[in-house]
Amino acid sequence: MKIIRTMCLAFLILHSAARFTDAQEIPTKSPQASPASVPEEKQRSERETRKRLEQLACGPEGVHFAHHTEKSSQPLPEQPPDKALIYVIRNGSMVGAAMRAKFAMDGKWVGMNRVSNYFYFEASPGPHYFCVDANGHGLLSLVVEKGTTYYLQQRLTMGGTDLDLIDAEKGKEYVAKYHRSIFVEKLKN
Amino acid sequence: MFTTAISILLAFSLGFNVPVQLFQGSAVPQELAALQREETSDFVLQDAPRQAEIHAAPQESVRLTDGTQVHLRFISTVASSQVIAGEKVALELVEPVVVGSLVVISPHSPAEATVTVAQAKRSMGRGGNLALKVESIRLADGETVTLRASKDVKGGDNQPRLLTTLGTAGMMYWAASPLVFLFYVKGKSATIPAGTEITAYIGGDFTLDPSKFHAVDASPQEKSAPK
Repeated sequence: MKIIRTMCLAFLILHSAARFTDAQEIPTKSPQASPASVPEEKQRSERETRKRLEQLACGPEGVHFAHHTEKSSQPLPEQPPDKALIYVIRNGSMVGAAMRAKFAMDGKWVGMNRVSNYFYFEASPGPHYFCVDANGHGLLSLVVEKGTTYYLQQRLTMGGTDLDLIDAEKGKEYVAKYHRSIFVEKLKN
Repeated sequence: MFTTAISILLAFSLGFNVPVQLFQGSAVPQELAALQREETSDFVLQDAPRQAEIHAAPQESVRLTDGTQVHLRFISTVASSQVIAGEKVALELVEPVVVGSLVVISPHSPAEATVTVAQAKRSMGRGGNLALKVESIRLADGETVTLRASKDVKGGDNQPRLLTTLGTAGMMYWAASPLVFLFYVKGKSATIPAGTEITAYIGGDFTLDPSKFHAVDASPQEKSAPK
């Protein structure tokens, strides 16, 4: 009992310390800020921005996919000249390995990955909002350009879920090493 | 009797109508025509020397060339956790852009950048990412020209703070295991403080009308001119 109580106490202390750490990270105003920095006050807060991005990026609840991994080597798509090609990769980390990582763009779930999986899709040029849902939401917003390939990595960590834009070299390496994810949206009964 | 009455009526009607026809048909238009001629001739007279000047000494066109440097400053702080890709960020010109003797872009002219990548601080002490593309600036004549520039910023990782806090917590309390604390530590957002300066470049060649820009030394002369 004593050990559990001690652990709980430690947890509370750490939680408070982490909140304090977060509070310290409010962007500092530069002393050389120009007089025109008044609009700063009108800027959204971090929380408001995250909420807004979640609304733009993540899909509705209750959407599930039937999934399997295609182990055989798959031909990769040609880069379309008038669109962006986006790869979504999940690395081989065993953190959250049992979880499926769903991926949404502009408020619609478009696919999912298990460990060491990838899938790809095309997107029209312009701003897009991306969301990965596993152990929480990882968010990213990006302006994509036509004729360009982007590699996004889903990262499930002990601290949450992240979605990273990785460089092409690393992305190609992962795509060569991992297997393609095949999925179909499950129909509601 | 009937014929007489008709004749009288006709006479009256003709008598009244003649002045009306005169008024409507000839007199006033002549006056107006004269006025119009006067105005036209005045216009021609006024414009004639100007046109003569233009024909006598054609003004050289001003050319804003591709790659001309433009020094810009961020008006407000931009944090990767507070912007979304596609949003516009305001900048202003630091130093005037001068072509020949003309100020083509005045100081404090507004410029715009678009957020191309926005990622807030991440878990495990990893920082955020922010990328911007500077797109356009307004010339002194009100026209907008394209710019070429981009700025990428990465938020700092929080590893030193993470290790310091872990060490302190570990010394203070044995149960503060590193693993537990690791869950909560996030990196820093990528931030561009207000007042940060960047150099952009004019994207393309632009031919400008010199009559729409003032000379570099125009304002000092105006200031020193006697009132």
